[in-house]
Amino acid sequence: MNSKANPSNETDATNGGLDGGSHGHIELKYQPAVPVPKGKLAVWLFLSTEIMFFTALIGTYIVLRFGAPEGSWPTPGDVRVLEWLGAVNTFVLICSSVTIVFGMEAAKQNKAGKAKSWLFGTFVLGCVFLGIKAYEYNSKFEHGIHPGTPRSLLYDRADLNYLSAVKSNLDAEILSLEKEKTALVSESVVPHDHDVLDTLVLIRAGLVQWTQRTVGEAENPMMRELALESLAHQINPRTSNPRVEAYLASENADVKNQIAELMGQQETVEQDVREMQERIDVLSEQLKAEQDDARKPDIESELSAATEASKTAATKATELVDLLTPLENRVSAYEQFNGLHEGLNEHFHLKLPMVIPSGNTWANTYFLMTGFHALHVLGGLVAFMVLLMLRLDRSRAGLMENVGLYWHFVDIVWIFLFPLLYLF
Amino acid sequence: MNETDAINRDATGNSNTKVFLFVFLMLCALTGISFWVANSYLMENRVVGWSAMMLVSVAKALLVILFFMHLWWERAWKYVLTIPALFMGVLLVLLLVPDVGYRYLTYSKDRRENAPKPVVSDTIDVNPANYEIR
Amino acid sequence: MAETSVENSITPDHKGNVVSRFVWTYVFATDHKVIGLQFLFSSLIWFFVGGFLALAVRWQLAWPWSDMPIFGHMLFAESGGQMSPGFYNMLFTMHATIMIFFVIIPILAGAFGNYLIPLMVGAEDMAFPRLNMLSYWFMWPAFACIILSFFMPEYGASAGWTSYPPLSVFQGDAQSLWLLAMVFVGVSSMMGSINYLTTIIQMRAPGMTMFRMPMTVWGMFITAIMQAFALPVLTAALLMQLSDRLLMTGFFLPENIAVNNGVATSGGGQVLLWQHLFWFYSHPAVYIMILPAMGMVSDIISCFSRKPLFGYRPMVYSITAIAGLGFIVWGHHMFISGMNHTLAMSFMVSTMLIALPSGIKVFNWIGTLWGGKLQLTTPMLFCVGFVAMFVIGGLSGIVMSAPPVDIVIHDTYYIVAHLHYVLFASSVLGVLGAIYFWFPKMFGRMMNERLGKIHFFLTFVFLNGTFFPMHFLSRMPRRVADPYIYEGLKDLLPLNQFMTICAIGMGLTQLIFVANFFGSMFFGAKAGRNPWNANTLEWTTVSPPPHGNFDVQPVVRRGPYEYSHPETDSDFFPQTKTS
Ligand code: HEM
Ligand SMILES: [Cu+2]
Repeated sequence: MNSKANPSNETDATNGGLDGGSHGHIELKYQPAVPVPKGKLAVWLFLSTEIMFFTALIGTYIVLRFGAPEGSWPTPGDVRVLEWLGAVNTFVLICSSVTIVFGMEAAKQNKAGKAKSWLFGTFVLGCVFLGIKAYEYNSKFEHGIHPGTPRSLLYDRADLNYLSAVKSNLDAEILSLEKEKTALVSESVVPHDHDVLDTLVLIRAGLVQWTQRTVGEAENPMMRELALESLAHQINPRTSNPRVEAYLASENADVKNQIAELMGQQETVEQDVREMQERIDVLSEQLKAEQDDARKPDIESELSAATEASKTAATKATELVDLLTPLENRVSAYEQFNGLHEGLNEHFHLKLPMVIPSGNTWANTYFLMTGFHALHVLGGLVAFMVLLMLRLDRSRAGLMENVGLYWHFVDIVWIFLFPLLYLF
Repeated sequence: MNETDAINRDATGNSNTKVFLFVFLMLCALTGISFWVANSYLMENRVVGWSAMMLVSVAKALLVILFFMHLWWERAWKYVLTIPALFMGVLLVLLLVPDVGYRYLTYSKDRRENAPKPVVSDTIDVNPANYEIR
Repeated sequence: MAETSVENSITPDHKGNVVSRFVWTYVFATDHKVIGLQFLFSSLIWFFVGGFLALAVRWQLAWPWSDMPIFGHMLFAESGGQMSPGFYNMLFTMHATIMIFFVIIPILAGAFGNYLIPLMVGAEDMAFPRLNMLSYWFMWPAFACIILSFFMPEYGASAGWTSYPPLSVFQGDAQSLWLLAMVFVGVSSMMGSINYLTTIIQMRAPGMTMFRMPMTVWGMFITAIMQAFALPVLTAALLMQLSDRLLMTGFFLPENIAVNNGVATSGGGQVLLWQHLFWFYSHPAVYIMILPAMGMVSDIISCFSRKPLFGYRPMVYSITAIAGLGFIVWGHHMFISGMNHTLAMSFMVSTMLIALPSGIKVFNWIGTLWGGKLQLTTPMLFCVGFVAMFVIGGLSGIVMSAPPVDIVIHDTYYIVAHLHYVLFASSVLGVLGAIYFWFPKMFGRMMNERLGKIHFFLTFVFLNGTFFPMHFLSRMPRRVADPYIYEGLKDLLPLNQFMTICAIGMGLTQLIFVANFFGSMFFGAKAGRNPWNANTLEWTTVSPPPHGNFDVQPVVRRGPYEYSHPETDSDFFPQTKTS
């Protein structure tokens, strides 16, 4: 508001000292209905519109939050919210409200220097608030919590959509790491520490492809769901999930049994292969040693039968290996990853898609409300900067008050946002 | 009405400072209370906890409005300006609530049992380009 | 403040060349009268753009898929001048958008609000002239966005002026421009309304109590309050939809809907939420579009009946009641949306209630006319037309306010009939009357009466020809490019052709107005201070008023409607006159 540009008008009782009197025309008298300066009235009116603006945002939050599936709203831990940090920010804003009030009091008593230091204090506190906000935003971005797709890594439920997201995410990541590796090799630098690549490859083989197979083969929809759920759980466990853990454990035992069985088969097959080989050896010896031409065809046919059988056995053996590899991958993945109670993402600093029911709705509303609040804080800081360039004596007390009113409003909005977003 | 005039009306020297400091302490205490409520047994019944926190917030907002924003010392016009805005805000939220659409996280039994068997090929039909990495 | 005000005042001693003088006077204008005229001229220009779009809509409905004259071949040469269904969607969307946000709201609140409020309350200017200037400037980004959107591949936003998701989220970039434009218009209106409120509350001349203010000022006052409360909600909703489109958040969309090349939206939003937030603004907005007109019509009718306004205070109370009720009826636009039934019922009741204060107003206008010494000047004709047409529009509104009825006729031409009777036949007639009435004050010359009357009669006849038959079309869906693909609607073609011919006639009639407007600006008879012998303060100063508005301090001694007062010989009694 341009309310106090002309201090010489201060004594003008009728128009509240606003907008510099007459210039070339007669000065008009007014009968104001409200005993406050125009600027202050306008600020209050502006604040009424602001109330409606934030009401719309909070209303949206309420509708989306209470429309969210029962019990699905993310906990602070899910979405990396630190409650105490919000409380600190509340405290910072309260302090800044106090400092600006004292600044205004000082200006009223015509103590320009003091007013300026109080105002500067408010400015600094506002900056601290935004700094903490920036830190909070950053910690969410780092965990893949963004407003809106495709940057957001959150999924509402573990379904095929989620599985394919994990898969393509993983594929792309492995591809880029491999490229990096070959680049390093071609530059004849010894690639160091490619544990990450190995881990990712194991995740792909032992978790994602396995889940994909299970989902494709399982007849029972419940099993499909469990398989998907367990994948999500291993990537980002929200709470301990006994159902999934039991499923994983029993599946692991199952897989181990299968492996044992297959190993047994493998042994017999290998035995077969060995026997056949021996027989082939014996037969070919025989064939070489045989003088009687009439008996040769018999041995030859026997030999070819043996070769045939040996080939079958060898195929069987490779088939068994093919069957065994995924199972073994699964077991080693289980052994390597199951103990990690903070999940793959956290443990290996990965960015695989996560399942947090209503997580995106949470992120959308969180960033919406805190974002517009932060913009308002920023606006206040700009106003402070302008004020700091002026001499804050008594003639500017009204201006200080107007800016202060706005600042207190920003504080009040935060007073409501804090419990809604951090504590509910 | 002169600007400085309107403000000086309540400028009675030091007593204001005390009021502001008191309000400040109250605000800090109330913040502490809502923090406590959030981590206490009150949250066992969430509605109770939520209501308690909202009440605390309303109290805090009132303190700020009345003292920091000087409404305590203003004349009757304060009602004309603040009450309609409050009324409109509450009205909007109240009338939004009946139309909250409830969403479900799980498929219904019927939908689950009659769902077609998913086709999971090795190349799942999602374009990796749409999923930005890092 | 002081420097710029001196700069931009139209002072003869201004130094500088013609260009800088023009710039300071008309671009950096802070004088409320100049800003008012800026709003007036830009709105009138947009009025013709919007009118063209409407005629194109009518063309398609009368002669579907035929070559539109001139434009058909310019835009659709390859398809033989035949427009596409998508283009038709663009036409009605942009028609409504332009008419509502660029014409009626800016011309009522922006042009007449700016021009009349300070003059009528006896102020030298608005409370914050520079904020006022900004409020006009903020219209220009909106203009730019909308003009730009016409050059997008889809030729402009085409999801309807209500912009319901999910439809609106599947549109092209023009829709984003549309949303941005609406944000700018909103900011402009918000700045304007804070300014009007402060001016009316704090800057009334001595003696001008609230209940001595003319109805025009009351209308503007209540309108400004409505804007202040309703607009922020729309702004918030627009920003959320913008983020749904650009960031793919999901405030208004169910989860996993593929938008933008197949990328799914995130989170589960709610479609009804948009409708609630939108109508929370847009129903009050329809009153924003008529209350100022009602105020101006009240003033004009009283002046030309040479009689005090019948029931001044009930008039004030009833617009206040309309405004209050106007905030709790928005759900009547959502009866078939699947909203909560109890909620729908309460919206029905409040909607029916709103007819009460509206009825009071009609009753009072008739009471004012009754037994008056009627002077049927052009402005008076338009205002009487307003009252008659508003009765029709209001009645059809009550018909629709009952959900059982509305379920059947929602989104049909019956709605189109209703909204055009209240918006075109009422608001626009009121605006035209106001232009004829205050033109002498604005430009110091009278408008031509004979041309004005011809303009009125032709407009009146053609508008009824265009819109009245729509009442019979409650089986014809609106927003459908070719309704005749339905067997049961084929018989409506001749009626639609008749309406289109009337619409073209109505469009052509407005050229008379243009000629009259510009002709009178230069060649009209010189008007004195008070050509209509009216009472209100603006007529006590020179026409056009100088910078600072008044050459003597206005001191108000009585209400604005003391016509044919027994204490004086003349039939009018200006508010400032000492008896
Ligand atoms: C007597 C008072 C009124 C009543 C009871 C009333 C009632 C209604 C109802 C129930 C609808 C919704 C119809 C539907 O979509 O199914 C409607 C639509 C509409 N009304 Fe009114 N109305 C009244 C006055 C007005 C006024 C004064 C205006 C504007 C100046 C207005 C402008 C509109 C517009 C523009 C629409 C259509 C919105 C759209 O769907 O595009 N109405 N009215
Ligand atoms: Cu409505």
